Amino acid sequence: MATRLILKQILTAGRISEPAPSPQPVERARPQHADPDAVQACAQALTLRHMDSGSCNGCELEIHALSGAHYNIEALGVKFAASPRHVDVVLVTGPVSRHLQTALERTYAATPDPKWVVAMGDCACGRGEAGRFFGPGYACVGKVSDVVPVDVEIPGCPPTPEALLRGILATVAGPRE
Amino acid sequence: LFGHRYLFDLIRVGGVAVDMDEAGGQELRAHCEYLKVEVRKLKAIYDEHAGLQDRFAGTGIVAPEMAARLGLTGLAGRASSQVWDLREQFPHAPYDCLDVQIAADRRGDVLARVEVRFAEIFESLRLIRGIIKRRPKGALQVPVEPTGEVAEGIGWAEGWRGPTVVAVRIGADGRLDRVHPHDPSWQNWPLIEVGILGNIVPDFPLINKSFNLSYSGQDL
Repeated sequence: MATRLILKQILTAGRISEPAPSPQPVERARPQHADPDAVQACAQALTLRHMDSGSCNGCELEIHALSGAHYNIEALGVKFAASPRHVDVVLVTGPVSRHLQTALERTYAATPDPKWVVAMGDCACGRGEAGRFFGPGYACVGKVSDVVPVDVEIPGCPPTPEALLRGILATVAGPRE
Repeated sequence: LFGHRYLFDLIRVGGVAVDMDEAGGQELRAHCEYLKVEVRKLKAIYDEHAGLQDRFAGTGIVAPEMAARLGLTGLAGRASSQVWDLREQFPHAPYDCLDVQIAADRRGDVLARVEVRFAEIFESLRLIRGIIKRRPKGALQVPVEPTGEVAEGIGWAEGWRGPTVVAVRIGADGRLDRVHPHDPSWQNWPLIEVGILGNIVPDFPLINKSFNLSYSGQDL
């Protein structure tokens, strides 16, 4: 009975996934540093580690949306892993709080080369006055690029899932400079 | 509809920033109707799925006694007999005239949390329709002037994970002196530790997600 209902739901719903957005125009915070072979390999199968360095959970909700049927990120060859040792990209959300500065540095150090860092959201990118949304203060270091080198910045509060997807795809786009 | 997906910056001192017109209300009502139909389909599948229910039943139990001792709040609490809901017990507008029905269960397992969540979805959709219908006309904001004195206040709302409480003290200069936000996730994380005791490793993600807590703010 349950199987019949599930099949009916699958057949009536059909495919609801959107086509992948283009990473063009590529806006990079720093030039492509990996060699073309590595870029090409990772463009086909990219693995990410999400690192929350003090966010409000807004960005996380949008990241979560990518894993659903609508944006269907795994169909694009992109997936999230539970350890930085298994990934190519570290996706950082939130302003870097002092409590999580060490965690961010260690996460970056634990990620094998070639690696990229994506800063997601206005806090992580340091939008706002004086190039920082939060900090520096007693609890906050500032933006992500003050702590680790950042390849792509995705502004927005929070960025839309589509902007996020475009930013992730942009890490492995563009020739080496 | 409101200019922001998570309604950031829409609640202001003395009111709110954006109004909703008649067309907006209609749109929201249509969305609620669509969601009700879709969630009913999922509920029908869930109700027929003996295998799924078998996996949920008896998994990740937080007994009501333990929930009371450690102060399990929100939706997870209501699935463990902690029948507290700010919308019903401290009803501020608009909940004071909506007769909020609390969904609760006493089994405290994943199954109970799923049941409460389904009931909560249908009740929330009903409340949203009621709020659209009864929304008052008039000014969105009233002017609030700083008094020049030290002032303290506390505010609360039943959020989607449970009660969210914020305590604020404003200094004589009109600036924030102390702020303490209290998030239900903070309160509930230790109870997941209780819930996973004696369960198999593959059930950890299931139990974790049945609580649906936020990681943000836990390491600050």
